Amino acid sequence: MAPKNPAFMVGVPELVVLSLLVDREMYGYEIARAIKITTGNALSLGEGVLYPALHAMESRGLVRARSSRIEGRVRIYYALTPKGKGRLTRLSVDWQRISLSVNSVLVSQTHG
Amino acid sequence: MGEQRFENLREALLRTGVAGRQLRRALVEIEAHFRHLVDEERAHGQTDQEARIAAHRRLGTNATLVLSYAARPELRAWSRRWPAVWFVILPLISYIVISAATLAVTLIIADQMSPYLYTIHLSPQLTARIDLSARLVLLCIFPISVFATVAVFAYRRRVALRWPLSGIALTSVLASLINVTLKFTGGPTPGEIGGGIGISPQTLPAQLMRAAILASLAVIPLWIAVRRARSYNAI
Repeated sequence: MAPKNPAFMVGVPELVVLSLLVDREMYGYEIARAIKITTGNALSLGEGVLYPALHAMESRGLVRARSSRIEGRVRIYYALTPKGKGRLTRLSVDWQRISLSVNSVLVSQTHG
Repeated sequence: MGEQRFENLREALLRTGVAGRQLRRALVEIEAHFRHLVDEERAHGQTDQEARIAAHRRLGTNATLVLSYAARPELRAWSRRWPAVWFVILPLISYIVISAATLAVTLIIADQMSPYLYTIHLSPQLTARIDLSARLVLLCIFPISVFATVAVFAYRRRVALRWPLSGIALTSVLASLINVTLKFTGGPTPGEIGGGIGISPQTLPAQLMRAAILASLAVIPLWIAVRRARSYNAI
């Protein structure tokens, strides 16, 4: 079976998570569900791996966390910081540029 | 099954060097996520057992989680980033600071009490006992207290034994090179506090012996900590 997340996907989870947090704060399970739904399960990673990524983003000041207890369960909500917004903008621009470049190569190969 | 998995994960993350705050957060969030996944699978008609198996699969293996934390140095504890500082240099500095502070406090108290000290006279036996107690506290109890703290901290952070052992050896050598005299006699010359550090061919064997005895005593708390860690792993 071909791997679903090849090496060039490194850094993509960060971009996806930051994008999801643009509109509102979310907690881990909610983020994992949103990734699954919005990507049609294309980004298949162990859902637990989301947490080291979120904690690293928090330690770099890209997101901030707040704790809340709902129905007896602790939820840590993550929200985008101004620094995170800046990072998202840069990552989006990079992604668009790479995506366009790869697409143009693929198109030229198809038509060539 | 789930609880044991999270206990194993906690131990594995500790050994990886994940900082305490990150570790607690990770366990709380991952366990909560697991329960959400079990609920979701049950809602899709799975039995309890099936739901738990599916939830574990979706969460990813402990090895994957640990690797993911290990790949992020910013999530590691300071003590694991610079173990030499935390377990070798800091114990040495702590011992020096504690000893110097104790001597300074003793001097201040003696200075404040000087009018009273001129009026009393202590027996030679009591003077000798005070001197012996001071040596015992400064040259034995203080270093062993520092070592016990290092051992507990090293155990809690699951660091490699070479770091606390190096700290213990170095501090033991320092403590064995120090000489302290605290003589309270009262009367016209109420007392004196003396201290020094040095090495000479005549005193070297005795000093090395002192260092060896101190290090051996200091290894006891470390040995207890290591045994605790091993018995924990055997569970």
